[in-house]
Amino acid sequence: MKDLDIEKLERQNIYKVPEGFFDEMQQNVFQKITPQKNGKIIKLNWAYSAAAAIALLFGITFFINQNNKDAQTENQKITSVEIASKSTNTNVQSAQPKKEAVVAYQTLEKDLTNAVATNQKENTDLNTVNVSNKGINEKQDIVSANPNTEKQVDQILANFSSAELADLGKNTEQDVYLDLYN
Amino acid sequence: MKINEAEIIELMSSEKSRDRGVRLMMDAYQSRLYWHIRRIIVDHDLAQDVLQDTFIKAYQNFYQFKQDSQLYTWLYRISTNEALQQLNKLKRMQKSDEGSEYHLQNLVAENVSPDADEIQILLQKAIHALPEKQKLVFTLRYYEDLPYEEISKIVDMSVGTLKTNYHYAKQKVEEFIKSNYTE
Repeated sequence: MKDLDIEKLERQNIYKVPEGFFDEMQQNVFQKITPQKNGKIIKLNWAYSAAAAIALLFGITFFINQNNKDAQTENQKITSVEIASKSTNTNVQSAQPKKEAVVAYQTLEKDLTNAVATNQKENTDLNTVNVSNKGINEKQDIVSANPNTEKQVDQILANFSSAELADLGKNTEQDVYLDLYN
Repeated sequence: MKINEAEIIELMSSEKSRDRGVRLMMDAYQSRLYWHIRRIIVDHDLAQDVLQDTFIKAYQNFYQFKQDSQLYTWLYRISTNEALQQLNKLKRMQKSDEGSEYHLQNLVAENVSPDADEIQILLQKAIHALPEKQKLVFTLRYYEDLPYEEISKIVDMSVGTLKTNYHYAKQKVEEFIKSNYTE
């Protein structure tokens, strides 16, 4: 044993090995690799379902909002129709035979016009300068039309008895957003 | 071997042919890698698990394989790391290096085939008396006959350090066999 040189030894594998275990090992590898592929598909499904859920959420929210808006314009329409039936010169009356959507739009526009008008009242000087400088007819129309409609509203309101007004007040719902324009 | 390797890499690089690539890769390297792992952790069942995990990791992380190095070097690196993790688990169970050394040497005795030479058995036992780094260098050089440059990529050591480590490992192994040989 004095002259041992392991480099000269034969390289042997001396451990016992069960037969056919490489096949088993390869099968195991493929088994573990294949579920991973399915896992990926499930992941994609998750993403899709998440996207669908979000889309649904937005869709429902939009739908509900749309419904609320419709209800609001419906309310406005009813009051505007009532007003129109009692006055003679308003635009709304001429709009009555038109389609509902158009009526609703006009009502909304009138509200907006009111808002513009009140703004203009507050900054009368600025507005007159703007209007005369730019020569925009529309704005002048709005300004000139505004006192008339206010008078008309006053007239209409005067026509109601106090009991009728109280009744109307009960029916109308206070709307914070519409309040912004008054 | 090199033609095989290029083919495997090409098959593995494409999603469609990846499974065929894995099959070819396992056919080509399973035996060499198995014996490399088995010499480090001795137990067959554990060695099979480590080999299996090696191929699964190679499949999952194939995008990380830098094609400027050899595929078998990369596979040796994965399997060596996996085998060392198993060894560390064993050490934690034995609570000391010495405990795990004796445990592995007993395992060698349990696992050898009946017709094995005494010198060969002592050689395996001697390997488990080596420090971890020397063990790796010794098995990769002595059994796998890998060039030092390749071993350097597998175990992250410079070629100079590897040569020194191999020299000491070989001396220790020979001394171990001489002092334990009975015939």
